[in-house]
Amino acid sequence: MKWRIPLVCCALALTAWPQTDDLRRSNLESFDYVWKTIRDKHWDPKLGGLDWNAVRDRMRPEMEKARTLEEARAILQRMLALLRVSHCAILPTEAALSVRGEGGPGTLGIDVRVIGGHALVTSIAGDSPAAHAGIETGWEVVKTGSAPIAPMIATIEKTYAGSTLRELMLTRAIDQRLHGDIGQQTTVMFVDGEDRKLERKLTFAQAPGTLTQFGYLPPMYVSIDAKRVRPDIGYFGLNVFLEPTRVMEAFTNAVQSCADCRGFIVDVRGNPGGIGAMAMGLAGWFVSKAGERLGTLYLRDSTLNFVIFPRAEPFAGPLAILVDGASASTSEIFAGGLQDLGRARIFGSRTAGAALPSVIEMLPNGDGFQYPIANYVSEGGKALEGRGVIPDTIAEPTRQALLRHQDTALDAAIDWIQHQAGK
Amino acid sequence: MNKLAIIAIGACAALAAQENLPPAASVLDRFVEATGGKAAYEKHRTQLAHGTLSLPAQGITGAMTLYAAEPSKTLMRVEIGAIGTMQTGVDDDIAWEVSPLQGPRVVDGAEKADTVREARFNAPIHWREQYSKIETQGIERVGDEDCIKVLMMPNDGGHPETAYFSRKSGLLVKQTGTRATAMGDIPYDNMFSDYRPVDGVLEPYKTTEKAAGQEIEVELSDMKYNADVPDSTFAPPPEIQALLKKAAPPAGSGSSPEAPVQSGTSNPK
Repeated sequence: MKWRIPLVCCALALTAWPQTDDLRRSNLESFDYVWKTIRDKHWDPKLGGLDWNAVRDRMRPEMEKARTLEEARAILQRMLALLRVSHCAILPTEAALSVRGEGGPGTLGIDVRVIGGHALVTSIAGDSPAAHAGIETGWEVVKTGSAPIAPMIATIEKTYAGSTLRELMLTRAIDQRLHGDIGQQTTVMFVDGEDRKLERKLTFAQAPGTLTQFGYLPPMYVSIDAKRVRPDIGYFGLNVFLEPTRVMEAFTNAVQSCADCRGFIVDVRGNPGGIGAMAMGLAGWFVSKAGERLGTLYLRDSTLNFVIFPRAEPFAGPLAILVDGASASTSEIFAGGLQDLGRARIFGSRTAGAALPSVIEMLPNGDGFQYPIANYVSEGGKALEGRGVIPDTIAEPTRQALLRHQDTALDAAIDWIQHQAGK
Repeated sequence: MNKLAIIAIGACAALAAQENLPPAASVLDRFVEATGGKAAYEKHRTQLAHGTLSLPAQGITGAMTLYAAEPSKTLMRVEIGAIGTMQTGVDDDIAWEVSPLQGPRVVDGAEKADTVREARFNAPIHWREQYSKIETQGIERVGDEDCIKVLMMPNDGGHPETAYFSRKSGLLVKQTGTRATAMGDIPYDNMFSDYRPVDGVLEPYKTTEKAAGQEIEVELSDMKYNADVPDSTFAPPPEIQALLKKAAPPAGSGSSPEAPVQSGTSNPK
C-alpha cells in the first residue's frame, strides 16, 4: 500500500554581529543557497530575462567582503530585489523570534491608513489603549515618540509611486511605529477633528487575538471579528490567514448561524495573507457548484488549480468582500477569485498586487528566506501580481467620513446587500 | 576503427544489455519475495502505523497515524500544530478528505481511481490485478544502487508509474509518476529507504516525496500488522456523510451519486 501525502502551501517578511570565520562561511553558504534556490525553483525559469549567473559573479565577491550579518542581509536583499517580484525576502533571525518584527508585540489598538498624504486613524480596537485615551477615527497621527510621520510617508510614496504596493508599504511602516514592547510607554501626537494638535501618552498592550506560528513565519496574532452589522447581515473580519482550525471553526459558525441572513460580508482589509489554501476553504461556504476555481497556480513543473470544494449547505445569498491596499496575497486570491466567478462583489480600494505563492526556508546563517514558487492567475485570467484586485465599488475612507465614525466600504456593502433583496 | 564500427559495437552492447534485463513480472515477484513472500503478506488483515510527516525546509512537522485494512480501507490522520488535523480516507469505494484548510470533500474522478488503487491492502501481492501492462525499461543508477526500471500501466487508465527496484536486494528504491489530484495532475518522485521487518514483511520506514516544489518526509516510528482496527475506523466522518447524502440521487432517479451538484449561487452583479 502506498500513502497519499497531503499538500500544504504557505506565504510573508526583515538587522549586527561582528564577522567571524564561521559567520563569513555561513553567509557565503547562505548566498549560494539563495542564488541556487532561485535558479532552480523560481516559478519563472527565465527569471524575467535576468542574467542570474552574472548576478552571482558580481555579488558573491561583495558577500565575501561583508563584515557584518547586517551587510550580508543587505546584499541578499539587493540580489532578490533584482527579480522585481513580491514574496522575495530575507527574514532576520531576530525578527523571526520576536513578535511582529521591529515594532514589538505590544499594540495601541490603532489602525492607520495614509489618505491624501496624511496618516489617518481608520479604526480603533475596543478595550485598547487608544480607545481608553479617547482617540477617534479620522484623527491624524503626526508624530510617534520624537519621530515625525510625514518624512517617512514622503519617502515611501516616492519609492512606491505608481506601484500597487504603495499602501501596503505605508501601512506596514506606520504600523511598526505604532507597536512596541508590552508595558512600554510612548507619546503620540495627533491632529484631532478640529485641527488641534494633541499629545497622548499611551502604553503598549497585548494585541487582541491568539499568538500563532506557522513554519518559519514570524509569530503573529490572529484576530477574528465575527458579528452582525445589521440584524440580517453577517460579518466576518480576519487580520491574517493563519491558525486554520480556529479560524475555520469560527467562520463555519458565523456562516451557519447566518443561514437565513439577507447577505454576508467578509472583511480582509489590512490582511497581508498567510496560508493560501485557506482561501479555498472559506470560498467553499459560498459556492455550490462543484469544480469551480479561484484561480491557477503555475509552478515550474506543474500547474495547481485552486479548486473550491462546496460545503454541504453553502450560503447562497449576496456576498460582499471588503479590501484595501493593505490586503495582499491570500486575501487577493480569495477576493479576486470570487469576483471573477461572479460570486462576490468587492468593495474598498485596489489591493496590493502581491500575490505570489511562496515558501520560507531556513538559511545556513539562521535567517529565514522567502521565495515565490509560483505565479498566480485568477479565474478570470488575470495575474494578480503587480495588478491587484480592483473593487467593483470603489469606497475609500475620507477624513470627514472617518470623523463621523463612518466606514465607507462597509456602509457601501451593507447598502448593496439591502438592495439585493428580491432580485 | 571507423565510426560505423563503433556505432555497431555500441548497438550490440545495448542489445546485449536489453537481453539481460529480467522480465518485469519477475522483478515484481522478486520484490514480494524480498519483502517476505506472499504467504507472509497473506497473514495480514489490518495495519496500524505511527510516525511523522514533515516539510523540513519549511520547519513544519506533524504527527501521523495510519490505519489500513482489507480490502481497500485506509485512514491517514496528520496533526500539524499550526494547521490542525488533516484526514484522508478510503472506505472501499468511497474516497474522502477533511482538511482544516480546504474543508471536507469527496474524492472523485481520476483522483479517486488513483486513491482507491493505492489503498489496496497488501498491494505488492496484487499487482497482477492492478496493472494491465508492465515493462522492464533498463538499468538506472539511483543513489549508490543499480536499479531495474519498470514501467507499470494501471488497468483503470490511470497515469503510468515508473518503479526502480534494487538489482542487488530486489527492494523498491524509487517511484516516479504523475498523481491525479483535485488541484490538477502533479508529478511526484518518491524515495523509499530504511526497510525494517514488521511481522514477517519488510516495510520502508522512510519515504521522501518531491512534488509541487516541496519536499515532504514521512518517517515511521512503529508499525504493527493485525492490530485491533475496527471497521468503524474507516467510516467517513459526519461532514463527508453530509456531502455524500447531498450528492446521492433521489430514490429511483438512477443518476450517478458522483454527479456534480449544480449551482444555486446568486448573481451579485
